[in-house]
Order: sequence, then C-alpha cells, then structure tokens
Amino acid sequence: MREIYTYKKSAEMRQRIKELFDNPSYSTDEKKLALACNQVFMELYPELKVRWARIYGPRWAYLCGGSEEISIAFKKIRLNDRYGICIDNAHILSPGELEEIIDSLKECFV
Amino acid sequence: MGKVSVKEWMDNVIKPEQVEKYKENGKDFIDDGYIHELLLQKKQPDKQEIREIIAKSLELNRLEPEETAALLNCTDEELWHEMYEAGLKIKQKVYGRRIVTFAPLYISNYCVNSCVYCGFRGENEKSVRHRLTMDELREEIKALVKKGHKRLIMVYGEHPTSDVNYIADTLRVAYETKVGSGEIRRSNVNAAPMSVEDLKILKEVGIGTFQVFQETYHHETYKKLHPRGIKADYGWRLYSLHRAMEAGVDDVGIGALFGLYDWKFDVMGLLFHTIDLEKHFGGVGPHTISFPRLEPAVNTPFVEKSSYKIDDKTFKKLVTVIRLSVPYTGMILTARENAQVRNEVVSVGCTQIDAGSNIAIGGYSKDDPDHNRQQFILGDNRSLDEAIRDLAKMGYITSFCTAGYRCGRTGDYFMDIAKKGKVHHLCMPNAVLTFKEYLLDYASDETREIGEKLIEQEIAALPNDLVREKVLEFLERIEAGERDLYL
Repeated sequence: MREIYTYKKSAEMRQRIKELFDNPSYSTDEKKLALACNQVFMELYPELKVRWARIYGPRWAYLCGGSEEISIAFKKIRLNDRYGICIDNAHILSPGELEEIIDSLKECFV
Repeated sequence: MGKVSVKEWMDNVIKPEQVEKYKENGKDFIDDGYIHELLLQKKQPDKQEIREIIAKSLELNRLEPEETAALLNCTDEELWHEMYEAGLKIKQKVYGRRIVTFAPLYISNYCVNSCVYCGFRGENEKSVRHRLTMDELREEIKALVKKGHKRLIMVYGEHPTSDVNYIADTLRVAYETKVGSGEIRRSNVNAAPMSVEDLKILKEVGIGTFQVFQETYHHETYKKLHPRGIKADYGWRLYSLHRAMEAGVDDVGIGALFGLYDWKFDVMGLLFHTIDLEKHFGGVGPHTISFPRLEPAVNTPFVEKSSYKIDDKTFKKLVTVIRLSVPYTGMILTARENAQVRNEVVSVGCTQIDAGSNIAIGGYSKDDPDHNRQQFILGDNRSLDEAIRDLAKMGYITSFCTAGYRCGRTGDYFMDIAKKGKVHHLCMPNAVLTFKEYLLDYASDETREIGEKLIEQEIAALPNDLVREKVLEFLERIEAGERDLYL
C-alpha cells in the first residue's frame, strides 16, 4: 500500500516538474524554476528539508529551500550537470522512497 | 589574447555603464564629507552609549555608521577591553571555536597598474616578473596539498596575460590536481575588478569567494596612490563586487589596506561598502572582510614614508570595531602580521587565517621565499603545522571545511544563518572532521597530540546527542581511511 502511495506521489511530482520545464517562463529562469520545483516538493513532501543548488564546477550555489537544522542524514544529489539538491533529513524516508524520488527528479532534469 | 596590445586591452576593460547603474544621482556610496562629519560628531562618545552599541552587536545586529563612528572614537581603555571581550563573544556565538585556514597562492605578478605602495607595480624594475605555466601551477598545488591545505586564495596581477580566461584555466587546474586523497576543495580569487560578463566565466568554473580590496575608500588619497592604469578608476573598483554579485558569484570579499589613509575613515568605508551591498542584494553583504596592514616591499619607498601607518595596539582596535560593526561576516587575518600580533588579534573576532604561506610566485614548490618575487614581506613565517599547533594551544580548532560551498550553503542562505548565529551549529562538526583528517595525514606528533585532545573537548561540546553520534561515526570512518565526510 505504502509503495503505491509513494509511486503516486513521485509520479505527480514528475508530472508537475515536467510541466514547469515545458513552460518557457520557468525553463529560462534558473531561480524561478528552482523556486517552483521547491514549491512542488514542499507540497508533496512537506517534511523533507531540501536545498536547491546550481552547480558550477565544485561549487553548489544556493538557489532556494533548505533549513537551519544540522544535517544528520545529509544526502547530496546531482540531478544533472547544472542542478543539484541537498536533503538535510533524508533519514525520514525509507531507502525505497528516497530512490523513487531521486529517480523521478533525475528523469525531469535529464 | 591574440594580437591585442596591452594598451588596447586596457582601453576595453572598464565598462562605465556597469558602474553608473549602481550610483545614486551620479554619486557613489562613499561620501567623504559625511564620513568625516560623523567621525567629528561622535568625537566624545559617553560610556553608556558605547555600552549600548556593544549590546546591539552582541545581539548580532549590524551597526549604523554613527554607532561605528562612536566606537572608533572611544578613548576609554576600560571600554576597549569590554569591546575586545564582546568581539570574542560574537565570534564564538556566530562561528564557534574554529579558525578556517587557507594558503595564498600568487599566480602572476605582471601588472599594468602603478599603485605606489605595491611591489608589483608596473614601474618596479626590481620586481622579478613571472606568470605560472599550468605545469608550474600543478607543482605549486601539489606542494600545497602535500602540506595539508584544502583552501586557496589565488592572487593575480592585472594584465592581459592573466586575464579572465587565464584565471579560469588556473582554477580548473587547481581543482583537478590531486595528490592521493588530498586535493584543493575551494579556490577563492583575489584579482582585478572585472565586467559582469567576465565574472560569469569565473562563476562557471566554480570560483569560491571573489575578493577585491578597495585599498582606501578616501577618494583623494585613492587618486594620489593610483596615478595610472585601470586601477586609477575608483568607481570601477568600488563596484566590482556589486558586479560579482550581479554575475551570480554570491560570496564576495571586501577589504582595505590600512596605512594608506586614516584608519578610522577606512573602517567607516568598509561599513558603508557592506551596507550598500546589503541594500542592492537582498540583505547579503560581504562573505569576508580583510584588513591587511601596509608592509615593506622591494624597492617601494612609499611604505616607509606613509604617515598613516598604524601600530599593533591600534590594529587590534580597528579589527575589534569591524567585528562589532558587522558581527555576522567572516574576518580574515593574514600572515602579513607577525605570529605574536596574530595570536593577540585572532581573539577579538577573526574567523580565517592563512598559514604556511609563501607569497613568492612559484615559491611553494621551490620552498623559497624569494623576496624579489613577492608583493610585500610576510610577518608570520610559521609552517602550517606550527600555526595549527599554536591555535590548538589557544583552544581553536583549525578548520579546512569547504562543505558549505559544495552543498548549497552559499550567498543568502549562508548570510541568513550567519545573522541568526547558527553557522557554528553546521560548521563546528565539519571543522572537527577536517581537523581530524589533517591530524592523521599531515600533522607532526606534537600537533597531533594537542589536536586529539581538542577534538575530544569539541565533541563533548557539540549541541546534541544525535550530532555527536554522527560525528563519532564519521571520525571512526576517517580513522579507517575514508576522507571528505561532512554533515
């Protein structure tokens, strides 16, 4: 049951983020895109502390999101050559849920 | 750079429209008359006023110019001691008991400018000119990595042979060069002001902080000391970090060279610079503030003649006032100062030092402090290991942490948590982890022994059990050979 729920949520996230990519007013503005993606993320996974970053070489420059908490289950995920996310509390998800989310996001950011 | 002459190149560097857009009614944010007036108005601050200002700083609020002017004019030594204590408290509150350590790496000293106080000025025939080749740069990086360094400030003269494309190439080499598990994880840049377009090139290759020091904020003095070259344009330099922020380089470093003009005026200049950056960029001011003092340089008589040179006691005061004025910003104390001064001043609120420094071009791989290849003469020649050991004896953990820069804790995110005094919650555990790496891989036995005790103390002081457990787990993994673990 939980797996179906996880799949449905990640499918919704995938669809909504793909729509953002299809909308030129978002896809041409890095900050706006990240803010909108973060909004989708917060609605679907309000418990997750996610920080969105633009990648420049080794530098992951802050775009939006995040928390002030100390990360005790930090997860850094490169979505493509340009964007990445950092989850400060990845431990609240099961490994399967986390993998599902990451795969869905990477599919959007190909 | 093809066949463009030096003059042609110089003629095309400055983009006036990228300066004018930030001015108000055609004026920059440094109003010399107003600064002098503020310093006069606050000539005799009373005790109560000073104590109220200190209290405001302790709550991590940036001071207003009239408040900083009052602190600068304080003559009561008892109050100065209260300010020194407040500086340390603020530093501990925002950044914890850690000192970030880096190495300066001079890459090229060809220069088109004529700064009368600088050993690299174009006219100085006694300065031996060199620009590192990429192979030479790799050797320099390897020498630094072998000593344990993880962070650099790469320094370049202003010249077409060290233009933005060369700087970008050197940054790539710095990041690519590895020695075993050792590597440079963050390369900051101190270079001449650039256009927004050029700064975007540096952003793309992963620049850390971009530093440009105004040297002096006093217009007339600036003009006298920079008679020719691109640097003669005060406004191009003054707004260089506005352009960097506009280009998306969200960590910038300001600074003034103390000894060129009245120290009180230049502290005020640093504050006005901070305020203007915050005004234009959503509350995000400089990531760091530097306050080097004028030092002797080869064939540079101006240095001996300057009437604005400041003594050690005044230096400590100016650093303290900067700490109190901008409580949440990193402060860099360089090896221009001797070890004794550094040990004294680090305790009034500094957050970063360089150590084991060699500022001769190509000096690390040759292990040679060739003064004719240096911009000035260094005051602190302790090795990295010695400096780290001395800091440890004073209770400071040396941090090589670069995690924030590599996981999106930059720009407004960093500034926001710094202003709330929460940086050390994130950075202290990572400081411990990088310190452990250093102790295992590079430290002398003596430093390791002192350092291990300090790590034990810091682990005990971590804010909660979950974090402590995680740090202990990571420390075990580092002992077992893993590297670059961070929270």
